[in-house]
Amino acid sequence: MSGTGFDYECSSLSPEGRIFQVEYAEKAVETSSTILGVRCKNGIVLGTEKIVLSKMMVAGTDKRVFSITTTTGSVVNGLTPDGKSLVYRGREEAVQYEKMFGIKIPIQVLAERLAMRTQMNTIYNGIRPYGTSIILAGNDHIKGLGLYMIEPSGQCFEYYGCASGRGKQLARNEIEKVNFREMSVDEAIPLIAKILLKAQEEMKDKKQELEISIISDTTGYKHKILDRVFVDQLTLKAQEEIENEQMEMA
Amino acid sequence: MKIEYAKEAVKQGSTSLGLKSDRNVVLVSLKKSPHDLASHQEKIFDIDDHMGIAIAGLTADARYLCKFMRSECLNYWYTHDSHHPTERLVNKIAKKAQVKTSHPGKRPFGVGLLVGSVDETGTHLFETCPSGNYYEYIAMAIGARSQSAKTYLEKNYELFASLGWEELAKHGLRALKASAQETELTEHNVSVGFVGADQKFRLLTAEELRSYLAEINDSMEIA
Amino acid sequence: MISGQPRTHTQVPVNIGTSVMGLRYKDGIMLAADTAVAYGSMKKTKHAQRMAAISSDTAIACSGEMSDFQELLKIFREKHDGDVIENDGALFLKPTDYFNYLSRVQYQRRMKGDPLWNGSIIGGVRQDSGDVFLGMVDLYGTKVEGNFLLTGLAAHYCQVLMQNSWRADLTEAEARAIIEDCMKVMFYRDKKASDEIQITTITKDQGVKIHDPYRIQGEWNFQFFHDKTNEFWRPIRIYNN
Repeated sequence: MSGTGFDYECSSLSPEGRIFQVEYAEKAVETSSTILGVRCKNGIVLGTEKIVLSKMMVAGTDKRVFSITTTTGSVVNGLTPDGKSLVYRGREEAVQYEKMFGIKIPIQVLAERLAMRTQMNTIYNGIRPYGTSIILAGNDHIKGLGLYMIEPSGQCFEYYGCASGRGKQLARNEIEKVNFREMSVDEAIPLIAKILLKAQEEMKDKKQELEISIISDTTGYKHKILDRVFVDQLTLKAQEEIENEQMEMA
Repeated sequence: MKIEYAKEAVKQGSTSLGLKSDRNVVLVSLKKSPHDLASHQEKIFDIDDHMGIAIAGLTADARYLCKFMRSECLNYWYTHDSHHPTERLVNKIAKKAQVKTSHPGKRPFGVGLLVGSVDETGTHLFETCPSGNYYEYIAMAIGARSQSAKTYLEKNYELFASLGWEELAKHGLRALKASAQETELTEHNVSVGFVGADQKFRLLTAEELRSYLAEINDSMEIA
Repeated sequence: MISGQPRTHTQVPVNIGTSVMGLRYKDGIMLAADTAVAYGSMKKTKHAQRMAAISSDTAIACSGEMSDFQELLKIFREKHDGDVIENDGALFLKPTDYFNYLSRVQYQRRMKGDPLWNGSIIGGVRQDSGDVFLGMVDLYGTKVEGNFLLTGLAAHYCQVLMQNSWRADLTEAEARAIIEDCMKVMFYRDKKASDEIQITTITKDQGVKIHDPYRIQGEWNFQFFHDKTNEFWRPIRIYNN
């Protein structure tokens, strides 16, 4: 992909009608960690995988799962600092909304505001688009559970299951295969772990870490980032299962 | 792109490293002097009683961040009567760094920090990057030729958990020696800072440094 | 605003909760308040809760302007939620942090000449170390720590009562008895007090526990009240003019 002068700033379209800066941002997302979110019967599960860069790292550092409010969770990939910046923005919006209207910010409103913000970054000179995809999950008293994904272009949709990053295609296929909507969150968690590990198959010799968080009736619809020890056990178990499956295949 | 250049600035800076045990964090730096007649540039700064930083990269940027961290710690002390939680402060730096990567007319920080600190949740060693990323480590080295120090630390980091600060400092100096190559370590071009669960952050004095360095040099020669 | 006059803010509280009390006992902290909110001399409501948990190990009880109390709770909730969503290993805000923060808020508002008109008692027992804390902040931001604390009129009426009966090894029942004694005195003497009281206990094992309000038994069966309140028969005569 070459922009020949049309890719330095995103306020100009190329003759083919493309905005190269946005495409570069999408590229940053496509090569990074897989993130995914699924709606279940009684809640939502968010998850991501990452490669541990150094063995001297403390377990759980380089976080990608964040709370926006106590009842809204998010997971980001791509340039995580950009993702975090968007999360901070979300926190500000949530606090401001609650001060203004006296109720918690509906997840749809939050998603649309953040999408708007992301889109703004694609039309002005000088600033660059966010190099991050963010999945938002939450529960509000207007529409109940909601799962949204925002992409660098500013695109924002509600999903029953969504994925982004290097394992996007594989993760989507896997999510479509399993009927998560009839499943409880607790049943879904091990499957999610497996999908995340499969999605980064080619990197599996390196040390990998998962991050999973849930919002469900068992947590009182609060966003709960699962305990490090628990997730590590889950990862080991999922790895074993994947290996067994492969043995059977062979 | 400009982030890559900023990261390069960190790699050009002289070596800084940090390592931690369950109760102590030690920061070690190799100082450079621009001229024979000039003094060495300080590389380790104290932020608060419970926190210190070691830097690699542009010292001017580091001093700016140092000032920011000090005032944040002071503000936190004023409003809460307690120490600033480490990761929250590191987060604030990361947030500042991210803004500098995405706005026109701004350049990213050309400095990497190693933040060593003790708080309610134990000892911490964080590394911050110009890109706005930060990571937590048991031991880490940054700056020019830090790879040799990193290799030393990677070999030994599993032993660190139970060590006191004296032992940690020795490991730190040995790792630094690995990176320093032909440069001789003296009390003039090395600084060591440490903080513990019951020990406020402070730098080693010249005398203390001298004795540690003598010990290290002896043991290295035998080996 | 009256022209020529300086700009003024709240100078008189409107919806007032009267005294609150707090004391240390063997297992932790006990906070107490009655449930009345007075509007001038009228009881606007007799069933208002004037205490709340601000975190799992910290609680606050407030006397003074009730709208300002609600404002304080909002500030604390935001603070607490911020602490939770940060998710960096622990909840860093301890009872002492909230206490100090409250005093900073109060002092800042007072220096703006627009104080939050409250006397607050904050109590907490840290769940990790078991450290017990009891402190009081007034509308000027003054911090006071002690084994037993009283705000408002109770600081005048019950100080000696508390001083004489407080011990470090009080059981919960004994502490409750002292509180009830004090509350009874307040009910007799303070026109803004009521006989429905509420107690919050904070212990290491159970954290903050806000108990249901209940009524204390006053003794009104005195000859004084039985006699006719005829001017002639009345034993004490009070002249207001």
